[in-house]
Amino acid sequence: MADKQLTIALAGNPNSGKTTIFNAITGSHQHVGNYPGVTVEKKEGQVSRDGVNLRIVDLPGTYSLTAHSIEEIVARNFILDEEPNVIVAIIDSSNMERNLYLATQLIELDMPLVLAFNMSDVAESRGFRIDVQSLSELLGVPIVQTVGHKKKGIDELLKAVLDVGQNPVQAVAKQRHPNYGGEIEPHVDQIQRLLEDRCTLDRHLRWFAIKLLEGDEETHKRVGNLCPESIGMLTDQADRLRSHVESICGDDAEIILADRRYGFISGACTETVVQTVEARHERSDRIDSVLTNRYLGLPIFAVLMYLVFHLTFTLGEPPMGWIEEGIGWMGERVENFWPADSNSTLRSLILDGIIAGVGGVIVFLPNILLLFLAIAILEDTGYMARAAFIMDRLMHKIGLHGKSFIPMLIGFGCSIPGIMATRTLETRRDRLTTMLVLPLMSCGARLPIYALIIPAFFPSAWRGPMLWVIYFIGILLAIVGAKLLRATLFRGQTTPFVMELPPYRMPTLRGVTIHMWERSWLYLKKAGTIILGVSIVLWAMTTFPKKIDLDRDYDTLIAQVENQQADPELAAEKVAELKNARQAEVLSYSTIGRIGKAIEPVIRPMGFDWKIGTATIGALAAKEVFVAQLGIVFSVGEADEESDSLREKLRARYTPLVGFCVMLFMLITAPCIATVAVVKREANSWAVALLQFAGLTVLAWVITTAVFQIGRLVT
Amino acid sequence: MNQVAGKPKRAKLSPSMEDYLEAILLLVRRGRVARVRDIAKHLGVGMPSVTAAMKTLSRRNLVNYDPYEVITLTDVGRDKAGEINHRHRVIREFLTEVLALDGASAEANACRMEHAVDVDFLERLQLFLDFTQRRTTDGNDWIGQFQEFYRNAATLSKTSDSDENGGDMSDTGTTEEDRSAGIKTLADFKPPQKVRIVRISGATAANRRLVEMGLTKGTIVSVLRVAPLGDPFEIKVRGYNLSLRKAEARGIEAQEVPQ
Repeated sequence: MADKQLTIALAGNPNSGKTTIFNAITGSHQHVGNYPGVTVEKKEGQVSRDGVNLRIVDLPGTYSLTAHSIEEIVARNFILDEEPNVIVAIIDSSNMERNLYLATQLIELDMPLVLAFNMSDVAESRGFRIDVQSLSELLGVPIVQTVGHKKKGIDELLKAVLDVGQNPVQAVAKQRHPNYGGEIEPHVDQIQRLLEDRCTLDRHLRWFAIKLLEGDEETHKRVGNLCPESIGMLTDQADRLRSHVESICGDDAEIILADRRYGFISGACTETVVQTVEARHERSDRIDSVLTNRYLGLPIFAVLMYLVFHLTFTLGEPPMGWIEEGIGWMGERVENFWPADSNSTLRSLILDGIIAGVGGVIVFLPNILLLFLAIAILEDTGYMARAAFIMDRLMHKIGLHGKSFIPMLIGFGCSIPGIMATRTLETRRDRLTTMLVLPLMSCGARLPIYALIIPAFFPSAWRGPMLWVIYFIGILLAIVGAKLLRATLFRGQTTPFVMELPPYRMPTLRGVTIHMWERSWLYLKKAGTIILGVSIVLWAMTTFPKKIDLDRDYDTLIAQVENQQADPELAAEKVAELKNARQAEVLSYSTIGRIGKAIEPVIRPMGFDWKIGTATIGALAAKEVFVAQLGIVFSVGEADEESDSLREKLRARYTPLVGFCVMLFMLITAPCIATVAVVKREANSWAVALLQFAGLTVLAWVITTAVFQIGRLVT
Repeated sequence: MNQVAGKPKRAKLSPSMEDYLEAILLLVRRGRVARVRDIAKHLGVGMPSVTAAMKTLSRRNLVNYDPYEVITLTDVGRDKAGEINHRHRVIREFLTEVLALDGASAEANACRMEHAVDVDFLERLQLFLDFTQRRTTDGNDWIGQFQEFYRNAATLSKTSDSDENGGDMSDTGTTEEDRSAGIKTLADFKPPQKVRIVRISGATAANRRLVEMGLTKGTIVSVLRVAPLGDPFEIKVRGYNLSLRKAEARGIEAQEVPQ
């Protein structure tokens, strides 16, 4: 087998089914990374065909190849820097004109190109009949019809790609550029000739010429690097020609060229596309007339959000029980490995550190999976874009963009993918504001805390509303926070809300599963790595330094009580009291106890004692560690007892007000270390990450203190 | 994008740029500060357009513009704005004093004409005004006679221009110029109207994005629905659905197409 290698770049509009095609081609042989220097996701896969290795690169979804967004810049830099052997442009056949706009720009690059007319089934059902043969001749580019999710046409697509990739010169020679007409073409030619003569460039000449005429800054820089000695002259020429074009056509060069490209596309489409059925009210529009209805839109939105959280909680209950049992069973096995009265440090490490810590987190996996499932369904059906549409007025009022809503919604699952999703926002100001307030969207990792606290302190009728209240407070604070940020640190205009509302689609099981799994995997990975490590560190901090000489001889005291007290109930009570006292003494001597005590004066006003304090320190590593840590703090020294559940211990020790304050504090306070790291990476600034960390912690303290102090007066 | 910076520095200012300069001058003269919001309110345009214009003017060293500061005119800008305002006043005087147009109509027409006339025309017009005033004080009231003549003609054909102009003044959202020409913007239409894009300039980032998304001149757009909270709204263009805010739609001139 020859080991010839071709690089294939997939380009296409968002919602064109690009990822589906990518998955269909590469199957499971793919890996996800980032483009160098920027935080735009880069997916790559390998596939081999007819003895040729194909390296498939999924470019970010873009509408155009201008330099207006980071995705566009990444896509075109990849094409220009890495010179893929073939570009495959994925075209949504049911939305041809706009999708072809990107294709016309790709044609201008003079690179081997294949068009994949995806979703050809949808186009047919909408009554479009496309004369693919003629259109292919008109554009001079091979066209393959595909149905991504049914893997139809993928073989033909790869065949066309190989054809073009192995005969690149002929393929490019066949391509037909859009013609910009008599006022513009001579200017393009002129710049092109200059590029050829003065800069001895031999690739993408027409594209460079057009971009220079449009006044594209990125191209200006690129050409400047390629031939620094002539760039001044070229710029002068291009500026002069641009002014000329603008004075004749009475508009910006960029606008005129875009206009002409659409003209070219409309022409090609009129000749080759027949609409067999009169365009009628489509299904998607009918759905929209309900879901984004003037009066029904908001209530439906609110109900949907409520359902998402309600189902997450109720459906997650039974599997949580199973996992809990499984962990308990495992704990017993490990425990029985040692003699009953063993004081082994290793046993304590495995039981109290690893199993209690990681187990406490994995228990909430069903909740996390369900939440991510719901979000994946909302995304894949197309409702997410409607959510942005419905919420934009509100988001705009607080200085954000409707699109900020989507990352924030994902933030309910986990802040990390939410913060990564802010990449869809176009300006840095919008991105930073969204990122900074996003942790106030109570993430899935905080759900375990509420799941622990709420049933411990509140009657079952209150549980749903209480959870809702906590989430609602988070949202409210995020709104106020965003508004404040936009009025102070990030002042300025908001970005335009120009957003496609893709047609509603039936989500595929596969697509939803992949989406859900990708995000849940992040959570599990956290449980396996960070939380495991933190659990061990926290266990060590809880265990060491060990207090050998206790103030009182508890064993003797217990023995005394057991011997002397006649009433068995009273005896048990006394024994429990003594054991608790011993625990407290041991813990307060340990590292974490000392830290907890050291900060106690600070957290006292919130109604917290040092036990909660130690748990909040643990939660810095990851929010769900709070639960694990409380478990450790409360079970130290009595690992051989399985009687009291953590909830009962909490109920015995704290008032419901403290319970509420704990939730409130954990909702608002500094995000987990992983989030801080992601914010640092995404914002590319430590200052932003630290500002968020400190700001949220102070805010949490102030609010919780106020609530506790007022609450104490009232109750 | 850097397009504007690349243009020759001494090129003539466009009418709308002149309007912006003049607006700043008037605001300052009335003892008020000129912020983007004030200018937008004064001219009845969207804030994004004002920001874009301020950037252009600042590149030409006509205004001092910093995103969070009050906008002021540079010395060159003040001269330029003064000159524009002078043209405006002379023309308006001619329209009210000689042609007897009513105030609102004279104002609207002067707004449009001030951008088109050159120095020679203005000088001649000024002299003509001086001349008519002198003749009136002489007792030879031929202007009064003309105005009587006009009133008689007006009662005969009941198509009063001034009424139409006056009525249009109440519109909001469009520029002075557009209003009097009866041009509407995409934001002025309601579902389920169908409109044709008449003009979309490359002045703002939103506009450039919209053009790339297919809202080119001549494109037919259906207004589908408005979001529950009143903004943004949804349109159908080239077979797909797009949402945009009303503020952005104000930058697109459009005309209704009969269904």
